[in-house]
Amino acid sequence: MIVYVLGGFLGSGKTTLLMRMASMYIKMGKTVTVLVNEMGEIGVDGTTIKSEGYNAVELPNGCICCSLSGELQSSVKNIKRDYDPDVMLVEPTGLALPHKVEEVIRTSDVDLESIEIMGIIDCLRFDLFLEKREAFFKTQIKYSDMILLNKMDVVTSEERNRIMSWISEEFQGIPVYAVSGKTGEGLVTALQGLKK
Amino acid sequence: MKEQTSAEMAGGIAVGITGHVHGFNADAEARLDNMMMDVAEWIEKNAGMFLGHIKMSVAREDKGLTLNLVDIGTGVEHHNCLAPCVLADFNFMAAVLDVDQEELEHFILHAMEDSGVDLCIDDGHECGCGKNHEHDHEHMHKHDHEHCECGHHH
Repeated sequence: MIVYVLGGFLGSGKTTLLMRMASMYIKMGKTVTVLVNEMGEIGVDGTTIKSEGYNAVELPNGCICCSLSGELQSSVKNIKRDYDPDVMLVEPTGLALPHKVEEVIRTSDVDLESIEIMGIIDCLRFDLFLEKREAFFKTQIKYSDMILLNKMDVVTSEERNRIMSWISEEFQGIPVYAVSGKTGEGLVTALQGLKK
Repeated sequence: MKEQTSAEMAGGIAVGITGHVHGFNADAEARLDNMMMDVAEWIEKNAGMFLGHIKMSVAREDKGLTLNLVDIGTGVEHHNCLAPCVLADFNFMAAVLDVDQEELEHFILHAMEDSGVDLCIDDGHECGCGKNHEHDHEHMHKHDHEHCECGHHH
């Protein structure tokens, strides 16, 4: 089982990308299970994902990197036992720290092929995040194995290049791909860049 | 000393509300869209900007639509659709920065009540104004079904 943790701030497009990835892996003949976590006591994305016909496990009312870490470990074990998918896509809340999620999964005593963090950045609100929560934003992204610059379809190429330059400078050594979860643009290339 | 959660580190809070929509149709969908915009505008007014995510699913037997709002300029994005129906389940969630959780929940409950959509909110939401929003809504039409679990005779 390969695990991808899709980390990124609130509204960065994690669910849209996750569904796009799930669809791509299923078309490749792989089995996929999705684990979604939400801050609110009731999950919304689980309904959306189940509506699309994917196997989805929901962990609402807290954060899987901290308050729900025990529940995350149990869920990973259950997913391995009940579904044993080729790919597990994990979507933490937009207020989670993905490297902590990775740490919790690694210590869940489940045999994994690999686990990778995909840091998702919203092109559209990039400047606002930096202005309001620079330190948190950087902590969320800096441990990523790959950065996806999402919503590339709604910004100009100049704007995209400016953000790409900032990311390459700030997070040196992490591959960056401009993608659109909505249109699917750039995603095939990005997934080819994954180690597994 | 207790370790900070990541949400505390980010200065974020979340409010989740669940319940039923009575009489869902295109008009109700448009009204829910407006209600979400009202909530985002309230956040913008109180926090200085709206940075977060407001989302709502309306579903029947695991099939339905999702409304997403992350940017006031872009507005509410509608994903999938749900045919008009007498009763549907809804889940609402707002995760945002720089507002007080109780004040936000209070505003959301009032916005839902003022939306013009017949929403029956599940138990567990105590509003600071002392109003019981769970069962305080007035049904302007007669229901003849037995799906509502709020305990009231509609």
